[in-house]
Amino acid sequence: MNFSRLLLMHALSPLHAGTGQGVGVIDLPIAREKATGLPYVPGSSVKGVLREACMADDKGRHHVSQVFGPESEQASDHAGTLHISDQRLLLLPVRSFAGTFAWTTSPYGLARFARDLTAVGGALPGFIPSLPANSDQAWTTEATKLCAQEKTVILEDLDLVAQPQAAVNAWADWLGRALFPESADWQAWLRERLCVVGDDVFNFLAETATETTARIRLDDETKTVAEGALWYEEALPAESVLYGLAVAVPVKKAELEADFIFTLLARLLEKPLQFGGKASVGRGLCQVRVADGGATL
Amino acid sequence: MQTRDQRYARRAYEQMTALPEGDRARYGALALKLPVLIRTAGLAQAVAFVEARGKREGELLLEHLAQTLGFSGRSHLGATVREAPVMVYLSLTRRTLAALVWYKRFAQSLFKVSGTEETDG
Repeated sequence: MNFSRLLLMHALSPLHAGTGQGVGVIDLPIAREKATGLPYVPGSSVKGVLREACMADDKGRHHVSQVFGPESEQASDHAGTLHISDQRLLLLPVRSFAGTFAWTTSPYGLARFARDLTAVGGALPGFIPSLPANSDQAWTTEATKLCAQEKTVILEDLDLVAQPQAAVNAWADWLGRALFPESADWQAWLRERLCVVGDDVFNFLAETATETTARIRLDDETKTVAEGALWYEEALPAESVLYGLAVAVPVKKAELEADFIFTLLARLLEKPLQFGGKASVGRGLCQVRVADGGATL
Repeated sequence: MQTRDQRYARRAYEQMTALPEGDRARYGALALKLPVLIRTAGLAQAVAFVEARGKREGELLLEHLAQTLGFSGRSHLGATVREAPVMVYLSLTRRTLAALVWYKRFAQSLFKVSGTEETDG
């Protein structure tokens, strides 16, 4: 029997899951899905961080190879029990004229999230907003703080027509509880800032509203920029929210109960962990939570 | 038929190889900066910023860019950027960034600009 859970990853600092190099405008871009162009964090990257955390855990260190698979020299012995999917973008924080920033998502973003949520046996919080892809509307909750003037939401330099919708309230409440189970204040923040935009607008924001940072290297002697040592790095902004699946798959040689795996996983995720690159300049601190709604697959 | 990237690359290459030697360094430095400026400040802000500086390299680059994107000239590009409805603005931003990749690339390969040279700001 396979068991699965939904993971929700909240970036507490900008998150750089990179591709090594880029031929576009940005020298060090973040990883993006080929077909949608939306940013993601590879499952392998998440698994590596969890494996490290497990090795540092008093109880977990005895089960590392059962849970995550043996070291590469013995990789052919057996597979790991815990499978981690890519973490896909759900909420992208975008600079807003009112309310500081908006947590944006889109009908497609919610639909694919709903698909994964259903797969782990979770109940959908509400219906998927029926906003057309090329709409210039922004669906908000009824408690929104994003309206700059009456009925206008200004994200970056885009003016969108605000539409408070009860369906968005249900998503905001569910996501608030899942992401911030201990904080009513943060749940309220999310309720006031969740905003569903058309898929085309969301993709545009996911392309252009990510964080772009100029980095330099100083010449030791002159303390000025070394020649040619200027590059641009991209990161998902702090407050981004991604999600993915964690699946416990029984392996004969590494038999562990799914309950044991998920209890261990929950313990490893108690504190924020560092994901992606550029750790030494503060990137990639994320709080990952295991959402309710686990079920057999 | 050619891909959009091929068309952009061909136009940018023709325009940039025809630039007089004296214009190349400043033009190249701006070609490296402009795409990042568009990403951080938005297309309208970035174009207005370059126009407001009134420098020769800015005028040249906007003129070239406008032609590559199919506008009659930089004032036509500027007016479209200011007046376009949101969905047109999104697509124009995307096309501008896609074209500017080639100006950036050729500034590096033809003009040997690295981006760390002193400029007027």
